[in-house]
Amino acid sequence: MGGSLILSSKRAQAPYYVDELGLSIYTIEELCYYIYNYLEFLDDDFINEELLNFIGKGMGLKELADKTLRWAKSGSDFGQIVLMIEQDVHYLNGQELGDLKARLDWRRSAKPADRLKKKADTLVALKKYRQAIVIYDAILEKERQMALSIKSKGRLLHNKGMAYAKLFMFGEAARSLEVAFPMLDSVEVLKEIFFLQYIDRQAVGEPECLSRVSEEVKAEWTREITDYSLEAENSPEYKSVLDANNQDTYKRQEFFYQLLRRWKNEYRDMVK
Amino acid sequence: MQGLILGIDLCDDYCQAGYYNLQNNESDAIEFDEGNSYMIPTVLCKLKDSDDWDYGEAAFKSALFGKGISVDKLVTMCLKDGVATIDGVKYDCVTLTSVFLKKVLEKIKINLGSTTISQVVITTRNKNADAIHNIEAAAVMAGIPKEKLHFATHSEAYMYYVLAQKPDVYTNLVCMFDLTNDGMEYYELSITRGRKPQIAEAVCHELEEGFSLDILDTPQGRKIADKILCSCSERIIGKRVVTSVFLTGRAFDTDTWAENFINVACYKRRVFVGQGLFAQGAAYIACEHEKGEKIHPYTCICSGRIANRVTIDADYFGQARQIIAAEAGSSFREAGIDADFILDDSRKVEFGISGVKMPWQKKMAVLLDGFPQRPNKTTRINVKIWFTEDNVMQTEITDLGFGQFYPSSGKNVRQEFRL
Repeated sequence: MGGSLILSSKRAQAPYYVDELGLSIYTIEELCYYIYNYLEFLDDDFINEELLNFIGKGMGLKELADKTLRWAKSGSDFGQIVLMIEQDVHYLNGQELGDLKARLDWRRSAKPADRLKKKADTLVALKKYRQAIVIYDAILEKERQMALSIKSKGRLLHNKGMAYAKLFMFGEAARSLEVAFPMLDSVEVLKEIFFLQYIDRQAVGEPECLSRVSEEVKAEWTREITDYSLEAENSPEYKSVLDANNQDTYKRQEFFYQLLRRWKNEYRDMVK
Repeated sequence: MQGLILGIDLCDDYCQAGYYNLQNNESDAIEFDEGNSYMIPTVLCKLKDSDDWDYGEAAFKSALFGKGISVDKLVTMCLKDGVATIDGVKYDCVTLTSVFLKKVLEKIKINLGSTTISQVVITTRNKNADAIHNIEAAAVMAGIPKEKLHFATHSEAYMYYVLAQKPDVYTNLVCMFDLTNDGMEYYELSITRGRKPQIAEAVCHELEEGFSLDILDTPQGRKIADKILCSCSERIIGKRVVTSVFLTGRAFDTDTWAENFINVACYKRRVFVGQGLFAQGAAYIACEHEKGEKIHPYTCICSGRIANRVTIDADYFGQARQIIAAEAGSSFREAGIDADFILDDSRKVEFGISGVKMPWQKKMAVLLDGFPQRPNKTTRINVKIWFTEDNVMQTEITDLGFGQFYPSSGKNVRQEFRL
């Protein structure tokens, strides 16, 4: 299958800023990419003056901006307008447009809680754990309004717990998983609590739910942890740390300085 | 007020100038001094105990009377990045040429009664094309804005001059002999009709038979010169169907010495003898730049012009487009493209190359080895194409990333193509 080129649109002087991602969008192709890949972040008020200014004045695509405004005024919903933009720009191919339409259809019929959970799950995938936890909490606070089933609540608590674990807040993670366990009644959740306890017994304590797990199962889970540890010890990143220890003082210091700097920046991004 | 549209023919021996007259849509030679002097010797003379310079005939006289030290062959100096030491001070070729050009421009502005310049095209002999980077620096130093400055070979200037004449001048072959102290060059122009667009092709040959013009000072020398030209004419033109013959260069200031040659070469053909042809041709090219559109319907193929069309196929808002990176017949110095594309399931950039005489198109590609792997359609690239000669295309492709989603890796690929 041969490839091709797309002639790029011009770059806007004044970009369109995306809060959730903390980045700016400069071209219409980037906007289409953002809409397709981060649909969960877009609320109904996405079609607003800021967007129209970016398309019309920033990108010089006055016709598209005017068309978007016309559709919005005539009562077209978010999904219809967003699909129109994607179709007119032709950044997505036929298959991608079909996929986008299906996701928009799901969004149209999905419950508010499910839509918010999807947004939070996407934030977790982007390693923006703090933002995800805020949304999980927001959904849980409005439990009655959102008409959450037991299972849904359980899944939210579970995902919130996993987000805490990624932030190395193992105590908070375990608390959330302990509450989720009876709602989901899943052995996998028990295993996750066991793993958290293994990593930080002091923070996690002695969860009551683990007392029901047999010693044979715990031994098997312990062997899994050992396997994961061996895997980590054989990873390129771990080996680079070992190699750095064998370097001269200057190179070693420089390596660890850069590594710590990267980890700190990553963590700052996670907790933003 | 409309500025001057100028052509300057800069050679080692003489400099000539022409301007495009918007009133009658023709170019005319510029007379520098009274007495039909259209040629300025390309000579400078640094006056003693002064910062002033004389140029042209005045420079010859000043040097002759010991009033200063002369320097000539400025074009060859530019070709060789030469330096001249005068009164213990080193002057590089760019400085010297800029002094000369500044003097010439001042004279032109006085003679034509205008101080504004709209366009300038400087033309040089084909073999001196490599001197252009120094001449360009000199011209800018002399006060010509870079965006209004262009260059052309003698072949281009000749072609534009001929095509500006009445069509019956170039019904068939058009030949030209240019005879100066710098040598003898033969030019030939032909039109290929019956295709769209029509092609005008000019070739130039430097003839071994060139001789010093000093031999024309004696009757025997003039006879020998006449014989040499007759021999050239028989060898090159023979019985071919030629509509017009142009004779230019210092040697043809008087053509009475070339009686036999005129009879042989110009029998039943139209003959044009005179100076300033290249300067006037350059002025026609300057007019084309000023108007921003072609002033004749031909695709010009000659030294200094690209013989191929280079295209890139791309989609734009769902429409297939053929982006013209370089058009056949355009000056190689000004052809090229600087544009951004997004890779769609591709790890290469393909160019379509078609010659004016080729009915088919061939493909050439630059592979983007080493460019980062990213999800599809998240790699923007910058494609730059330019020409260093009329058949040598340079390409440079740079990874721009995809905005702030995927930062640029800075990876860059360069490749040269001989078309």
